[in-house]
Formats: sequence, structure tokens, C-alpha cells
Amino acid sequence: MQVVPQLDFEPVTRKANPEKIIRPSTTYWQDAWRRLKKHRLAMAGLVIISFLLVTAAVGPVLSPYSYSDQSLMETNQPPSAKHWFGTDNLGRDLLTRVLYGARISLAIGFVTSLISLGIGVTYGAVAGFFGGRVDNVMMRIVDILYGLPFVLYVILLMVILEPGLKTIFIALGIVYWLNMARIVRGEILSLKEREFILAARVTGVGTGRIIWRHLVPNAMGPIIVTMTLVIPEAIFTEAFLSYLGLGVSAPVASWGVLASEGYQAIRSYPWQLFFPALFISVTMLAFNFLGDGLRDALDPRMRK
Amino acid sequence: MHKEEQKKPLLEVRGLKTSFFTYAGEVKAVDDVDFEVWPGEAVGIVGESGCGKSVTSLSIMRLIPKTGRITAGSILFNGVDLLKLSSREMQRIRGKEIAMIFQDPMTSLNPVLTIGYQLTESIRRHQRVSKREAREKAVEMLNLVGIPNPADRLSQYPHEFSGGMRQRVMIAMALSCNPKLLIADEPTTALDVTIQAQIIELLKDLRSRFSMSIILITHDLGVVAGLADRVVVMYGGKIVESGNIKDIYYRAKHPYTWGLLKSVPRLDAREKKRLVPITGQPPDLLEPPGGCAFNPRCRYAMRICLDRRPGFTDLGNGHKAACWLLHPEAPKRVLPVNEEEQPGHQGVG
Repeated sequence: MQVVPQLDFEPVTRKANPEKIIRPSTTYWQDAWRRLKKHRLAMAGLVIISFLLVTAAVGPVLSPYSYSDQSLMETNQPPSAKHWFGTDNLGRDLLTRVLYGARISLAIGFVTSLISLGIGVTYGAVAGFFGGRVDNVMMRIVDILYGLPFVLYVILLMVILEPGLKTIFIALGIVYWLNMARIVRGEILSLKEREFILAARVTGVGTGRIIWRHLVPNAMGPIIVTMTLVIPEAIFTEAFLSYLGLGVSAPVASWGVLASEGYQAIRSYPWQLFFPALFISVTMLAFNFLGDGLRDALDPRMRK
Repeated sequence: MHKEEQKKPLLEVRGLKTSFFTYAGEVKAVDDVDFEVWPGEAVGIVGESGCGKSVTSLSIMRLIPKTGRITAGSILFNGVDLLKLSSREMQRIRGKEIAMIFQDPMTSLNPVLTIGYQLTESIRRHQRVSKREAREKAVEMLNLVGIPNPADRLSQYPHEFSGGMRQRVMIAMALSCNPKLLIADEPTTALDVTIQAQIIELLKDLRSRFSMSIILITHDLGVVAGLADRVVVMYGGKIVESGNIKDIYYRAKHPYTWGLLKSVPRLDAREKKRLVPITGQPPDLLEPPGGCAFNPRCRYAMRICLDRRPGFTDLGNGHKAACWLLHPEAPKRVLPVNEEEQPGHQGVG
């Protein structure tokens, strides 16, 4: 038998004030951030996006060239120490233009996703919350808008408004909120039946407050994921519109415009297409990775 | 305890009928229910699942789901008919005058808002106070319901609380505006037994401290015995028996009440006895049986029970029951529950 010293059988003396045994409070967002950090691709995406944002902000300022300065002595130069990405057919520095284009393209992405956030969340939340006939009418309108060919009304908008950045914002904004509205509506539809909403009503909380303070924050995960995925889509759509000649006008350059210009010289000066295309692809990949990681990180069922 | 000395009941439900309109037809979930709650009184509403207890309470709050409608009756609260108020006026009553707590504290708190936010929201909604004062009030309420370190707990989220703690938070939320009436819809069902006892003790204590009335909805006769002064027994959307707690436990007159009492283990039973379940199923409220709704399951059913609905027989002291057995010409039956009962025992469940 094991020998136990007699002292070990003494009763325990306890402190008068037992220490707190509460686990430090972690909020939903802290938890989500911890999960996101474990997602390698998403973190890579986040790093790339931050890097792009910084270079888009400071790059054109640091560059010795301006995006519109022409230098007819140096047209169609290949990449060199002087012009890292080469020059285009008017002798403009391609690196500066690509970085400047990043501003335009990223702005288009972010503004579009903010517009889709504003309209889509409000519309979807109202439709989902009131349900029944209101929901039916509102969602049929969404279905109809979905059915209209997108290029058609962009062209119509271009005719009515002058072509330019503002028109592109409007055109992309009215397309991309549809998806957001559908997702938010679906979330609200199931959330509003939950007991805590009844409990909130019982304490006398009004309809507006229930929608904005109790329901929408619960749908924040899917909303953020949708926003993240709208950004690359909008950038790509803008590139596509520029390709058709419906994008921003010269000398302002978005990645789409640069790619479309570069494409015309693909045989003789392939770098003019390569660099803008590279930036478009990398950005799209980065946002998609991040969106994917956020989807996992913001799902409360993944909580560990 | 019938309180004749007080002039007016706090809540008077008269002829309440609530129906749900489904694809299969009208479901009369609550069918002609009358009862009242006096100031400071605790009333237990007892019955099986689906007998209309919860719908009665949601009708009082005017929060029945969209497919349902209150088709008749009146609900007088302090003399004001709640059914005639605009939805804005009703919103002012909810939370301030009448508060409610629910069965499952796990799902009744919003997972993305802190406890502090949820507590102060209703305080600030109904009382003109600053954010700081609301916070202090919230701390005070959490303290009152027995949550340690209330000030730290305010910034935490519901998932950081255990089930019993969440129910305490719910109670704190409900009581934060000093309501005159608290509706507790199965407040202990989702909790384990030791926590149940704590919550009942807490409700008892708070009831006397705030001098509020309580409507306790439950299927657990033990919980009712611990808290209520008066019991209303519901079956198939109707009240079958009501009376003060002693009358119901020791002098029950309705076979359904007998059945309920027989199916609960009692600490004071003198010998080991088997529990007797009530056989059969609760009635289909789409096509309720004719006459007395309980007749298909009643051991004492008579021919008259099949086609005529019994009226209430007044048994004195506010005790009344709706059963044909109480008709003066009906054969006398002995209450099977109390055959070997000693008066004066209280421990149930």
C-alpha cells in the first residue's frame, strides 16, 4: 500500500473570497478572427489585398511618372530598370498606370459592394421580416431584375448618363444588390422565428429595432461573405465592360481598360496585356480566398 | 385565496377564444376561457402539451403567430381591454406592465448581443434614464437574481452563461421595469431539478419583494405546488377546474385533475404506489370530441358526457369544476387520488 503522509488528510483551508472562475470573454469577432488566422489561403488573400490597397494608395505618388504623361520617344518599351513593367504605345509608364488602375478597379469593387450592402440588406430584411404578400411582391421584383440582361441596361444607362466612373457605380450597384437581398431575406426568414425575437417583442421592442439591432447582426456572417465575393465580381465585370468600350474613358485607366489596350498588341508587346491581367487574376483569387475563409470563420457552428 | 377585500382583479380574462386557421380548418386552441388574477397572486395554469396554456399567455401579450387570431372575448388589465389597444399602446405595456419569461433560456437570448445590451434595452425603452443609470439598474437586477460579479458579466454574451444563469438573466430582464404581472411560460422545464428548485425559490422571493402577480404556466404539478396560490386546470383549450391550491390537490373534483395528480410521484405517499398515466391522446382540436372534451379518456364517462358540454359547478371558496359527475343526480364517485390522503400534507413532486 502506498504511504500517504498524515498531513495530506488535513482538511483544506479555503480563502474567504474564492477567485473568479470566469473564462475571459471572447466576442464573436475575436473568435472569428482566431479561426480566420488558421485559414492559410484566406490569410494569404488578406495580405495580398492589404498590399494592393497600400500600393494603390501610395504607388502613383511615389512613381516618377504620371499615369497620363506621354513620352513618344519611349513607346512600347519592354520591362526595364527604368520602366519596370514597360511602356504602352504612347510611352506611358505601365507600372504607374497599373497602380493607378488599381485605385479605379478597387474603388469600383468596394463601392459596388457598399451599394449592394445598403440596398440589399434593407430590401432583404424588410421582405424577410414582413413575409407573406410583401415578401412575395418584393422578391418577384428581384426575380424580374435578375432576368433582364445586364449588358442591355448598362448600355441604356450609358446613353442616359454620361459614360464614366459614376455610371459604372450605378450600373454595378443595381445589379449586385439582388444577390445580397436574396441572401439576407433567407436569413431573416429563419431568424425571425427564433425564440429570442419573441422574447425581444415581449419586452416591448419595436419593429425597426428588431430588424436592425436583433435580426441583421445575426445575419452578419453571410452578409460579409457576400460583400467580399461581390468585390472581385464587380472588378471583373468592370474589366469586361471596359473591354466592350463601356468602361471609364481615357486617359483614366482601370485594369480592364489596360487589358483591353494590351490585347491589341498581344503578339508584339505581350507584357502590355500580361501585367494588368496578372493583377486582375491575383486580386480575384485573393478576394475569393478571403471570402471562402470568412465563410468558415463567421459560421457560429464552427465555434471550438 | 379568494381576495374579496380587494376591489378589482389585476387581470380579467373573459370568454377568450383564440383560433388558428390552418389548411385543414380552424383549430380552436383556446375556447371560451375565463379566469382572473388578483394583485399579488400567483396563478398556475396546468395541463398537458397542446391544451392551450401557452396560447392563452401569448393571447394576453397579443403575440400569437400570424396564422392565429383572437376571435372573441376580452382581456381586462387594470380595467383596460388589451384587445382594444393599438399596437403601439400594446408595445408600451409589454415589458413595462406585463413581462414574460420563456421555457428555453438557451434560445431566448439573442446570441450576438451582450447581456448588458439586452438588459439595458428594455430598461431604456420604458424608463427615462441615461445609459449609465440603465447600466447601474442592470447590475442591480443581476445581483438581485443571484448572478455573481454582475458588473463583469454585463459585457459577456449568452453563450458564456449556463442554462440556469441564462434563466436568471431572463428573469432579471423581465423584472427590470417592475412589471405588475409576470407570465412565466414553463420557466423550469428546460432546467435540471436542482436548478428548477433554485429558480422557483427565486421567483417566490422576487414575487413578494416586487409584490407582483405571476401566471405560472406548466405541466409540472410540483412546480405549481411550490409557487401558486390558485390553480387553473386546462384541457383541450378549455378550463376544466380551478380553485385554490389546497382544493385542487386535496379536493379535486374533475377526473382529468385526478389523472394529473395520479401521474405525479408524491413524497408523502404512504406506501409504494405505481404511477397511473392518463391513457390515450390529447384531443385533436381540429375535430374536438362532442360534449366534454375529456370523455374519450375518462374512466367515468357517462352517456351525457358524449353530447353535452358540462357547465361549471361552484364548489365554494372559488373552487369550481366542469364535470357531469358533479350534477346532483349523477352517481357519487370517490376521488381516487385522496383515498388515503392525510390533510395538511404539502409536499408534492
